[in-house]
Amino acid sequence: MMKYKALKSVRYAVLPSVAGLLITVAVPAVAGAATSNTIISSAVGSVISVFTTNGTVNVNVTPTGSGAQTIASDTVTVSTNDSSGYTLQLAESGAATALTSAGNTIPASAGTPASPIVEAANTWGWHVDNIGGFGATATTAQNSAAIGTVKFAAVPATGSPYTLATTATTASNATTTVWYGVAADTSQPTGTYTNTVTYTCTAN
Amino acid sequence: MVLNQGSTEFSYTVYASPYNVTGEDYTPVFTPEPDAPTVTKWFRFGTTSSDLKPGGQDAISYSITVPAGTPAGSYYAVAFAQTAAPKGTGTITIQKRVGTIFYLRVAGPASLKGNVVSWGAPWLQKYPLTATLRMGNTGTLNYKATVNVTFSDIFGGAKYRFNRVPEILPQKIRKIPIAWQGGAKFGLFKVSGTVEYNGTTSHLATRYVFIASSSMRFVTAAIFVLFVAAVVLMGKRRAARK
Repeated sequence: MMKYKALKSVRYAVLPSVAGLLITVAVPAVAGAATSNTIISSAVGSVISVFTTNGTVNVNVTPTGSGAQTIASDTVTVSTNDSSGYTLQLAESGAATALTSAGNTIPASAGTPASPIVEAANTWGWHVDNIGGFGATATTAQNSAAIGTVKFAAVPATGSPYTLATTATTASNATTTVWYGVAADTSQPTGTYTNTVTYTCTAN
Repeated sequence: MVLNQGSTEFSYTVYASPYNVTGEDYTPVFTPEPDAPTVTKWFRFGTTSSDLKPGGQDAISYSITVPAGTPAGSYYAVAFAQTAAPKGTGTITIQKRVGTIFYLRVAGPASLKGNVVSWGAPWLQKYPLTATLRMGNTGTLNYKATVNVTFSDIFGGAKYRFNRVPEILPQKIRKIPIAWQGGAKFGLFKVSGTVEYNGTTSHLATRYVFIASSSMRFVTAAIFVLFVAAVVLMGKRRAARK
């Protein structure tokens, strides 16, 4: 888990040391006292942490003639003491949007977060329940099963991240489950296809 | 400070990115604005990349040098700490980056202007009870708005207090949703508060909100109709006796 702490100014004020105090008592006896106030101040820095279940998500698929689909998840967990909350976004890490293996590719889904689509064979994408146009039906993992009705979108380009979650208060182990799906048929060359995505988390 | 509270070592880089927002929800954008100064070049980091073992922590020093002649005003950037993609196989490899927003102000003549664009709470709502404040900024400097909102019952007893201090960027309107999470699901409540900004305190007018689920609204409406019908019926019987 990576944690990033932004230290704002941390100021401490200490009580002034008091040396020996001599009181001279005269008649009539009058005791005087003086008080002063000192304000103790401490600024608590904003801390935000984000971590995923693993650094990689395996979406291995054994293709069939009509197309097989594997769906696997990654859980992103965020904690922050920032009272304005956080925003979690997803985007491609680089220019490549396809899964690549040597000279072969599996293109990204033609769907978008606002209008995701059922995966066509030989495409890949992402899905999060209850955001955008993905729908509220709970997604479950599957392994090389027939292509289902879960809708997917292409991972957004580097410069246009999509917001997966945002809060307006502190968060403690708030989770967002990101599903990745790959559909392939027997026309897709064998290989280990990969792509790198970036989760970005900032305080609001 | 970069901390590794995981169980595996990771490599990371530190860098600055432009920062802006889009929409009233203030969705962050990390691409440069056209014609905007390259604020990221003002940043220098003591460490730009390193490896961090589990349990380790690195304090990253930084300096910000504003070029001479930079016009007065507000400038923004984000300092990111980003993990390198882990080695090994996997269909999707994950990079993570966590950012801290820097709000920089270059001294000089600049205007600080803010206003309450709107404040409201629909009178009929479902759980959770929500109000919305929209703050505007027509100046050239960002400012903080201290928002204090109280949700009370109709007798004035405070049930929930909301406090937040968001930044309002120049020439942007920020929508600040104020929700009473974990609050009542039925009843009549009042919402009011204040927002302090730029030495000004604006009072947010009291709004009355009736919160009820769809089924409770039906029940409430049915009770009300029955009550009115009973009153009318009783009135007619009284008139008939006379």
